Amino acid sequence: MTASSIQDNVRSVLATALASVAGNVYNHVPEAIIPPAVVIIPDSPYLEMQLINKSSIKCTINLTISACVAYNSNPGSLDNLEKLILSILAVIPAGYEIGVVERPTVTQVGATNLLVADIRVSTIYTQTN
Amino acid sequence: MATTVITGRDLALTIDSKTYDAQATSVTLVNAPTLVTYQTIDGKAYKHTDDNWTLTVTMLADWGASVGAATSLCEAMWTAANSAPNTALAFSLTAATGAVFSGTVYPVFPDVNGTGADAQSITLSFQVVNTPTLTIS
Repeated sequence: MTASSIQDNVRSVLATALASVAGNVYNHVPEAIIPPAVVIIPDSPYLEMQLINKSSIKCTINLTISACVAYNSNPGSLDNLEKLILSILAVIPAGYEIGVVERPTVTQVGATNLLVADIRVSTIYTQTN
Repeated sequence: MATTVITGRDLALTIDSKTYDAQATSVTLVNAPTLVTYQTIDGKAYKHTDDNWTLTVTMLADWGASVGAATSLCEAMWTAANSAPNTALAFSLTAATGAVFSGTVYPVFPDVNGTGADAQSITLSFQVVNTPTLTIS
């Protein structure tokens, strides 16, 4: 049996579930972001132990799904971002706790201005060997 | 003596031979003793007359999550409470230090709940039969 990993069994699975939204989906932080984009990155705290016993590693994984759109005009960009957020929320798979959506902020990545909002999600991961 | 720390990760819990480690977030085995108080001429006097133990388990709900031989803990407890409510189930609470608390509890129906943002979490409060046995290995 192949050992599980957060990369293969959580972030990639989540990225696959998000593939239907209108944007580029990354299960990691890419070197260059092409908007509109959805980026899955670790949140803080990242891993939390909540269950009793330690015979196997089971932990809550906190992730941030960053929704990014091009920041060209303020009302248009905000509308695009809201639509992207709603489409993401609709396809987050079962077994995920969805937290809050943080306030949109303008972030410069390279020469591009992006309007970005973070969606906080968490799920429980079990390590199998 | 070196300081000993026992955390929840050092515990193992089984009820009716089913392991609860994968779902339980906390477990408490607590006694509520009955003390009769007498007001004597010399002051208060106490008499311990009874013990009432409770096993409380907080766990993530796993309704409908039976896979092969691994039965959903919620479903198993529901079935036990529904079909044989007066048949006590064996439990054991084991610490990594070698202490084992064992006894029997009566099954209870798990509650069903759900909130918009959080994981479905339930609390099972079991009536323990008599006083649990403590075994130190």
